[in-house]
Amino acid sequence: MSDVLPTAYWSVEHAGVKKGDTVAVLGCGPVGLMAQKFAWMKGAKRVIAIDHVPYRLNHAVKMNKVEAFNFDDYDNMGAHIKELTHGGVDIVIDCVGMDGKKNVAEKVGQKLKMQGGTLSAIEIGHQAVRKFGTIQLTGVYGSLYNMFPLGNMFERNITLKMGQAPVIHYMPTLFDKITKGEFDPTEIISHVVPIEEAAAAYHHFYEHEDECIKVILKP
Amino acid sequence: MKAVTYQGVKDIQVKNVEAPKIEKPDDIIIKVTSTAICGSDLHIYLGALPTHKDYVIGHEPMGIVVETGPNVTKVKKGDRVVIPFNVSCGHCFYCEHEMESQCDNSNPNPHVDTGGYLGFTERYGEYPGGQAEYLRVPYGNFAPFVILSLANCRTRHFCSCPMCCRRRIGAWNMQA
Repeated sequence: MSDVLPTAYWSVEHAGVKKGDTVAVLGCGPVGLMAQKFAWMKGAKRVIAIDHVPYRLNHAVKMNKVEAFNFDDYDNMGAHIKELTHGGVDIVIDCVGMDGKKNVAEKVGQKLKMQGGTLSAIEIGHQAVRKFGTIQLTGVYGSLYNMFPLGNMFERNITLKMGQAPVIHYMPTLFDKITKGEFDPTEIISHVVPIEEAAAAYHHFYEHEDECIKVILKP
Repeated sequence: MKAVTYQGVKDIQVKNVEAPKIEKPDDIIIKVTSTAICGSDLHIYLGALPTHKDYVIGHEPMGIVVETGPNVTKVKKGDRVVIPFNVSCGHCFYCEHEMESQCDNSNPNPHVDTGGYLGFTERYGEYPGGQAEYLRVPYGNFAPFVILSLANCRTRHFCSCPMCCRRRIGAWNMQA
């Protein structure tokens, strides 16, 4: 409730998800999983989840009953989503950010400090969203980016929203929903380990080993 | 105290570091009972968000208040609290208009016009993080969210107060 829950909740509210919307959530990490759940709770009629880590996609299906897609299986994930939704989704919520899967040029660029990270999530998102749709960037981006598809977003009237979530004012609302049983925040926790095991936990989390989704450290 | 520290790219070590103290009159100190690793901690882990050796990471802590500064009225010793990753003063324009992630007063870094974030390097205020046994929480009258106040608990045994302590403790995987 320090970050993941209010960040996911704010992302869905800030993106303007409303009854009947089709929402694509990029990323099935803790924030993505919760954003999928909150999108349903806000009345979305269709929630699509995209990732390339199979166990996380499976978790999304099990936890949130989403339509899940592995972008490694498609040449153009964004175009496929657009076709599937007859013109694109109403809202894309990017819960990946700059450390998504990078292409070679982006890896080189980041090393040379010419590129803040990857745009792969934005690449999928801007193709998946419909005209006049909204893309909410929740995953963290830093520094400068080459090849940002600004022209495409302009000519298709895309709204781009983003930022660090203001979490403090959401905590009472979310705590209330938890105590009423409206959702279960423990669904995202995969590991609870003593703090002494932090180094291994970071490794598993980063490398997507041991079906890691969310680690709680106990001091 | 034990804390999760950055030692270099992909080099995280649990080390003994000095425990935090009250520095400002509205600070609180919590004993951390649970603290999570966040995807954005990986930006530090990977060196994308640079920091120095021995920096304590972490911005998803919860715990028990063990010390309060003289100006703190919102929480009392013994309260169980969740600490948000936003460091926010509670009284600037942004904090007063539900934009507390861009607090005007919490990030002293003169090169960055953003709010401060806990455990998120010098760029966002150089606040030591919450993956540790104890944590200093600035702005104790605004930031902490009290999930169980010992002062308001009828029995003081976390078992049968009307707010249903047991369920809340259970929901958060906390040890009473």
